[in-house]
Amino acid sequence: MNYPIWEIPILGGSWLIGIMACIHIFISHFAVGGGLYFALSEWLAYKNNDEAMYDYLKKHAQFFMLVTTVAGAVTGVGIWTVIALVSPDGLHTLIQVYTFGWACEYLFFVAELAVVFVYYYCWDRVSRKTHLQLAIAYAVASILTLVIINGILTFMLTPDKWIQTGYWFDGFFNRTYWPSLLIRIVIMASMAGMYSLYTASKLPQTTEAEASFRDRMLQYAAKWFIPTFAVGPVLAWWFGLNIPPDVLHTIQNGMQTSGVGNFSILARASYLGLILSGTIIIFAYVGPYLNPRVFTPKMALAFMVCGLLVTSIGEWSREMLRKPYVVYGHLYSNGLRISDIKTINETGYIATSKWKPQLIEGDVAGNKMRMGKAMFEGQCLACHTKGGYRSMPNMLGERDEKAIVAFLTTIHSTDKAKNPYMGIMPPVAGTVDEVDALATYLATLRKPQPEMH
Amino acid sequence: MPDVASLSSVVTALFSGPLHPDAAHATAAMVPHYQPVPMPAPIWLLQVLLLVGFITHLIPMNVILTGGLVSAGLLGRSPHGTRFGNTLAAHLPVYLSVAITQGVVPLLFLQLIYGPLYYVSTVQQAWPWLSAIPVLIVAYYSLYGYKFSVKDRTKVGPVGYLLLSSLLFAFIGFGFVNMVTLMTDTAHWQEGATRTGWFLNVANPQVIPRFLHMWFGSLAVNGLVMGIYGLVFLKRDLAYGQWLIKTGAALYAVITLLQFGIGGWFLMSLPKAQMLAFMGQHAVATPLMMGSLATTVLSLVMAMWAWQTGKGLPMVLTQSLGLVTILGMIGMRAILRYINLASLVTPDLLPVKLQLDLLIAFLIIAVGLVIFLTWLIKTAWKGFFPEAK
Repeated sequence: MNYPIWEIPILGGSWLIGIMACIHIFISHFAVGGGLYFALSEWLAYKNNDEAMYDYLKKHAQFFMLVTTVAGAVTGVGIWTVIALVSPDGLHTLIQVYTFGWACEYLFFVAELAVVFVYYYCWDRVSRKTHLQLAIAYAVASILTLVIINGILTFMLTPDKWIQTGYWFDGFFNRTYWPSLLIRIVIMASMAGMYSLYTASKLPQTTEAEASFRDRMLQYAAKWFIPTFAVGPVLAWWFGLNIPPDVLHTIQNGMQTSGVGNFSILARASYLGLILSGTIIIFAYVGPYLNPRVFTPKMALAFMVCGLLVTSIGEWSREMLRKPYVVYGHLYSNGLRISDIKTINETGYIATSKWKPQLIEGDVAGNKMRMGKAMFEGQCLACHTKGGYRSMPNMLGERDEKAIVAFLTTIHSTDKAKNPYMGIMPPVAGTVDEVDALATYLATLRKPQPEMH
Repeated sequence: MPDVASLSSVVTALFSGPLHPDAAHATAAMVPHYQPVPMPAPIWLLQVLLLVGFITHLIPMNVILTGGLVSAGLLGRSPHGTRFGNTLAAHLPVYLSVAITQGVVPLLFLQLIYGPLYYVSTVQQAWPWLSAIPVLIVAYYSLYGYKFSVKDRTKVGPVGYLLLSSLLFAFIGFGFVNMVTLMTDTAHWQEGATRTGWFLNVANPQVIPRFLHMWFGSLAVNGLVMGIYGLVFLKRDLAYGQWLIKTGAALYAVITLLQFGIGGWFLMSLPKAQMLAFMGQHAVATPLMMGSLATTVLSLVMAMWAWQTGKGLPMVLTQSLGLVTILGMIGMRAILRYINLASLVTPDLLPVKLQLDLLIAFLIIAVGLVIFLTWLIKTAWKGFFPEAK
């Protein structure tokens, strides 16, 4: 272990990251999509001299500012914080490889935040032409933050030539960069529509003029879903063509075996995402577009919940696609690098660790257990828990220590032909004795077995 | 890559009894490896960026740390007090946004340069450290809660929002002091390696005085910031402007006097070698300490003058000397860290592969940002003060 361990009960580290990430992404996608929404909507209001739309946009801007600059910005720092706690080696690698990439994103982020404050607080204080320029400036700045972060996120899945060259550019503009960027942009547009469904649904409809304006804004918001459903599938297909073959195989295999109930978790997530996305588009058409009068804020909130779920599934799937790596083909999710596995197998995991168990002279059995526990904490705890998400006792099932040794021996191998788990789990790293110690420790985690008669 | 020769000695130690009989020795061996990726620029440049980022974070961070308390304390005391209390409270969300954004810079470079120590420290106090995120969100919305509750700035709003935000920011500050001290306090690493993520480094004698030094320092900074508002208002509303200068100077002076005691306590809490570095045994630290003390005393004299007269000149001098003092203290802080960490990590020796193209892109974007922000500030200024030239 290069770093000390933080054991997160029940949830495990991956869920903790996931919760923070889902909240952040749901808001940050609104922050970027909202930039496009304000720029286009204000341009329409400016062109048509549409006072009602200006009034609506001002109210929407306050909501936008309060959500994006507070919860959006802070959860962004939150993701960074939680990844650093769960996967210090992973985050340090990303920071070190892309220091000035992060720094560039920070500059665009400063521009984005500064302009959103001026945009909101200077409403009615500057000319409408200047205000439109502010909206456009915001849209550009927010897209540019995406341009940077998308490079770093896709680098984690498809670092491409960076693995050989170490040159940042090779990893940044990788083969999933463009499909991912475009997918995110169209999804962000939908997010903007989704949030504006909420604020538009709260508009008054006491007079016919108010009601018809409300109808117009709801129908306008619903149209923001069109890009995702028009080009989203094509972009997703393009993205799929470029993901690592092992991952593609896992998804395809899951799809093909769904008839026999054996489909993979990734395939299940894809189905669920598709069903929810279909639900959103159908109800966006039937609800706010065709029947805006009966569309209520509660319905808009229901849309947002669906949106949050789809976003979460999308991001979760993206994380799953990358498993078992933090940086595909370079760094495993438990902080071990591929290049170190051979040395660790020869020298020993404990010996190469910085944070070692406290061994006691003469206590052979106890020391074996301590080493096994250290192996578990260092190599398994990044993805498994002792009794919650991906629970180790559940995974072990009814295996006895001998069966556990056999399983660990399989995943000790780095040869794909011998280790069928290579695509989904890091190999166990360490000497034969350490693997044996891990098995001994794992055997203590098993659920109590029924007595044999 | 692990060094096999040193590994074999560790293996020998591993099986020859308790691994770490001597805590100091043990923890030095526990400093994690850096990533086997070259640094993207020379360390001096990264250190400069760390320092610049920290400076730009420090002032707004100090304003928000006790800004809610200062506002709450002024509201209802007098018409001027209520007016400024409401003005500062209304501006706090923007200060907070700047503080968070600028905090990203030192956090980035701190992790890059001192990552092995930073991550060890934060992992051990993971829950309190992570809780800063929801706490920050609540504190932020609390500030907006006050702002949007006040429609008339001559009236006192629900001050509970302001007090709550100050309390929550103090919690975050306390967590931060714990994290920073644990980074360098390797003797407590074993103690914190409990896996629960609940360890706080409160047993370290530096934590309380360091936190108090920072917290009271933030009150003094709020005094200086009041002075800035005073300077702005001197031409438009003389009585209000003078009141702001007098009150700001008084706040700065009283707190700074108090800081001599708290700062002394903090100095005494340092390990002897570090303390002596500021008392004659370090060629840079000692003059910096003496210089900072001298500018502090001078700024106090100027603050007394501003307090008595409400004039602009002594306030400008107080602020300038106060700023020099703050910069001196940042320098001392950097030296202290350098001394502390020198025996644990040597980032200066790490391999460097300059990412020149990305660095140039960063610099071009930075220049573009300055131009853009200038335009933005001009636009906002014209919007709020259309009569101004």
